[in-house]
Amino acid sequence: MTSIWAVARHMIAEAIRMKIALFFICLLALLIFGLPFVARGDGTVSGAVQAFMTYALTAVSFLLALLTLFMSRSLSDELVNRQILILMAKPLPRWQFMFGKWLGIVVFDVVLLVIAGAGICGMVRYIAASEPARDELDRQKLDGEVLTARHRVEAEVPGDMFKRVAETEFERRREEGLYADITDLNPDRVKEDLRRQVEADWRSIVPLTYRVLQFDNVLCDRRADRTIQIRYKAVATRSPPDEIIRSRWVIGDPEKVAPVVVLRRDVHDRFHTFSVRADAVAEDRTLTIRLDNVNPYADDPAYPREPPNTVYSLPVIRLDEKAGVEVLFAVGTFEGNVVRVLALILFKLMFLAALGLLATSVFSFPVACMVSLTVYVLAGARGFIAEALLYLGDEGAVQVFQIVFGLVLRVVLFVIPDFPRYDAVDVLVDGRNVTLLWVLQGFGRLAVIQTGVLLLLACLLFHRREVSEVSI
Amino acid sequence: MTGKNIPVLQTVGLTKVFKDFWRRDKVEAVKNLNLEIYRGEVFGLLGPNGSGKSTAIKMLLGLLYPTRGQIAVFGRAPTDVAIKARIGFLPEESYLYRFLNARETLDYYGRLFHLPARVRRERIEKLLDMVGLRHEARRRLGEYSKGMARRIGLAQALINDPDFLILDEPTAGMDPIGTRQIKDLIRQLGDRGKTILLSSHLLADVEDVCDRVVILYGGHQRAAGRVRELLSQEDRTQIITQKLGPQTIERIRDLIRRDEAKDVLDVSSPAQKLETIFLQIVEEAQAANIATSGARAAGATPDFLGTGDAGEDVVTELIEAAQTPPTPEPEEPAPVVPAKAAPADDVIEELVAEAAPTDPALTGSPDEEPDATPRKQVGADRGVIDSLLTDDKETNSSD
Repeated sequence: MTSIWAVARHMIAEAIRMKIALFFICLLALLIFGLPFVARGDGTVSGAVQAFMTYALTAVSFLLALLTLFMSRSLSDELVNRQILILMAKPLPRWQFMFGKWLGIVVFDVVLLVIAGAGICGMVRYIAASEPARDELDRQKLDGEVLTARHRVEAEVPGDMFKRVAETEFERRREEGLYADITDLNPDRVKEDLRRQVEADWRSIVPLTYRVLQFDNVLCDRRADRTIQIRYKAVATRSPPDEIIRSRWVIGDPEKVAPVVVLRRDVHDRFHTFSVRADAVAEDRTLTIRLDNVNPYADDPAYPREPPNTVYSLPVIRLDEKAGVEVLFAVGTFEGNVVRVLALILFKLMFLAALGLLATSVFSFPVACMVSLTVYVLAGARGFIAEALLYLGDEGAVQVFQIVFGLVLRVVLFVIPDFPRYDAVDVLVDGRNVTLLWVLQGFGRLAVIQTGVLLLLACLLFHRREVSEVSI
Repeated sequence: MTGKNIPVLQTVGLTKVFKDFWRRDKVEAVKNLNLEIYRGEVFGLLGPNGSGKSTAIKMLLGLLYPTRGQIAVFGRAPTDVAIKARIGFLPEESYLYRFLNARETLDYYGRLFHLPARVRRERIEKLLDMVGLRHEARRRLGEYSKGMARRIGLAQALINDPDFLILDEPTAGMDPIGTRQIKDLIRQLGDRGKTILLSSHLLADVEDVCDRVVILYGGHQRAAGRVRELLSQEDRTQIITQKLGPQTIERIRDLIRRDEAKDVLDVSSPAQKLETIFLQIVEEAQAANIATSGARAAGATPDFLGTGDAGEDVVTELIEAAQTPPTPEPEEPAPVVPAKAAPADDVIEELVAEAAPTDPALTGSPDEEPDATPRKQVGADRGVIDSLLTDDKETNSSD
C-alpha cells in the first residue's frame, strides 16, 4: 500500500504541475464563475439557475473526462523518457505501479470535482439570491421544482385488468363465432392486440368522463403545511382550436381524506406542475386522483369564450405512456443531489482513467489518446448505436457488410459502457432525486466491474511488456 | 556450494535478440554472455558504444527479457521484486522527473523502498551532502545541468543502501571533479563490501576502480579477467625515481646492457596528468569560497552505506587499517624510492625488489585464484543457476 500511495502522490504532484491540467482548471473556473453572466435561460430566475446548472455540470463532466484521458500521458512519458527504467529497478510490483497511477488520477479528479461542485453550488445560491424573480410563481418554482430533490411516483397502470378484459373479450368474440372462418388463428396475437386496445381506451379520457389514477408508496411528509406536486403533460388526441386543455382534478380519496379540487387550463402538449396540500395523501401512503375531462370554466363569467361541456366541444385527453401523471415530493436537499450527480460523474472518470492507462500501456500517447477518445465518444453515443442496430437491414448486395457491421456494433455495445445511463444532470436540473440506488448501480457497474476489468487488463499487458525500448 | 560462494550475479548463455515489427530477428545485441560477480567485487563491463553493455544490464534488472540464457541475481530471477530492494541502479542517463526537485526525487524513491520518514530524511540530507547539491536541493531537476542531474541519479541509486550497485556509464556528462568523486566513491563502497557492476566505455574509469572486467564487442564477450593482469606488460620493466643526472642514466643503460643484454627503450620525465592540475585549481577555488550554481565540493560518503551485515564496522575498520590500495592511483605522486648516490647496482637491485608482484589476495576476487591468462574467460556453472532458479520458483513471487 505504501508503494501504491507513493506512486499516487507522485501522480498527483505531476498532475498539479502539468500545464495542460492548469489549462483545464482555469477553463473550469472560467466556466463556473463566468457562465452565470452568460446563461440567462428563459428570463426567469429558475430558468437561469437551470441553464447554469446544465451548462456547468456538462462542461465539468466533459473537461474532466478530457483531462483524465490526458493525465494518462504520464505513463507514456515515463516510458518514452525512460524514467520507468529507474522505477522498475525498485522493489515496486508493476501492478502496484499501475494501480498507483490510476489512484493518483482518481484522487486528483475527486479534488477537482469537489472544488467544481462547491463552486457550482455556491454560484447557484448566488444566482438564486441575486437574480430578481419574475413573479411569486417563479420563486416558488425555483424553491419547489429546482433547488430540491424530489421523489417521483408514477400512477399505477392496471396491466392485469387490461389482460383480463382482453381475454374476456376474446372469449366473447370466439363464442359469437367471429373467428370461425379464420383457419390460422393465433389466439395470443389476437389477445395482445385486444390488450393494447383496452389500454389505449384506458389512456383516453373522452369528454364528460373521468379516469381514476392510483398512486402507492407516496412516502412524503403529510403535514398540512407541506405540499406535494402533480406533474403531467397536457395532451389531447387532436389539438384543441385554442391550444388549451381544460380539466378538473380531485386529489385525494374522499373516503380517506378531505380531497382537494383543482381547476386547470393548460397549454396543449406541454408539461405542467401544480402543488396541493400534502395531507391529500392518505395515511396508508396512497393517493387517489380523479381526472375529469370537463370544462370547469364553462359557466364562469370571468371566462366568456369557454367551450361548453359537450362531447363535441371538448377534446379527448390522452395519458401518454411515458408522460402520464406523476406525483412528486421532496425527499432530500439540492446539495445532496449535487453530490450524487458528481459521484456518477466520478465513476465515469474512474473508468476513463483506467481506459487511458490501458491504452498508454500498449500504444504511444497519440494512438492511445485516439483510442480513448473514440471509446469515450462511443460510450456517450451508446443509445444511438443500439438504435442503429435495430435499423440495420440484412438484404441486398451488401448483406455481408451489414452482417459484419452488425457484429462489430454488438461487440461495441457489449464492451463500451452506457454513459448516458449514468447521466443525472437533467434529473438534477429538473429538481428530481438522484437515487442512492442509481448511484450504487453506477458504482458497481462502472467503477468496480468495468473499471476493474480495464485495470486488470492494463496490469497484465504492462506486466508482460519490456519497459526498455530497443537500445544497443 | 556454500552461501559465501554464491555469486551476487550469475548469467549463463545470456542472449538478447531484438526483433522487428514482423517478429523477425533484427539485432543480436548480446550473445552468449557468461558472468559471475561475487560479493565485494567491483566488476567492469567494458565496451564501445553499441557493444551490448546497457542491454545486458537491463536484462539483469528485469527491464528486458532474455531471448536465451539464464540470470540469477542473489540467486533469484531478475524479475523477482524482492531482490530489487538490495539493488541500486544508475542508468546510462539520468532519467529523472524534471518537475520534481532533488529532495522530492530522493523522497519518492525512498518511499518505494518503504523507508520510514525519519530514515528517508536523514539519508536524503546525507546523500545531498555527498553529491554536493544540498544548496540546490529546492531547484527543479529540469533546471539542473547534466552533471548535476547525474549526481542526483547517483544519490537515488544509493538511497536504499544497496548491496549490489549497478552503474551504467556513471561518469557520463560529469566534469573531472565529479568523475573523480564517483571513482572515489566506487572505491570506498567496494572497500565497504558492496558489490559493484560498472559499465563504461571510458577505459580510465574502469582501469582505476575495477577488480575484474569483461570486454564486450558486438554483443560478444571478447576478453575477461583481472584488470592488473590484462594491463600488465610482462615483457617490460618500468623504474620511476627522483630526477637523475645524464651520467647516472648512462651508467644504468650500461649496467642493463651488460647484465641483461637489453637496451633501455625510453628515458623521460613523467608528465603530470591534466586531471591532477584541474582538480588542484578547482580545489583552490572552492577553498576561496568562489560562488557557483553548480555542484560544490562533495561531502563524505554517508555512513549508512554499509554492507548491512553484522560486524560490518569491524570489517571496515580492519580493511581501513590494513588497507593497501588495490590499484595504484595514477594522479598521486609516484612512490619515492630513496636515492643512493652509489653504487648504481644496489639501486637497481632495490628497485627490482620493490617491483615484486603484489599479493593477489589483495586485488583478486574473494573466492577465486587469479586467471592464468588475460583472455581466460570466467567459467559459469549452468547447473548451479538451474538449481537456484528451480528452488526459487517455488517460493518467489514475481512482480
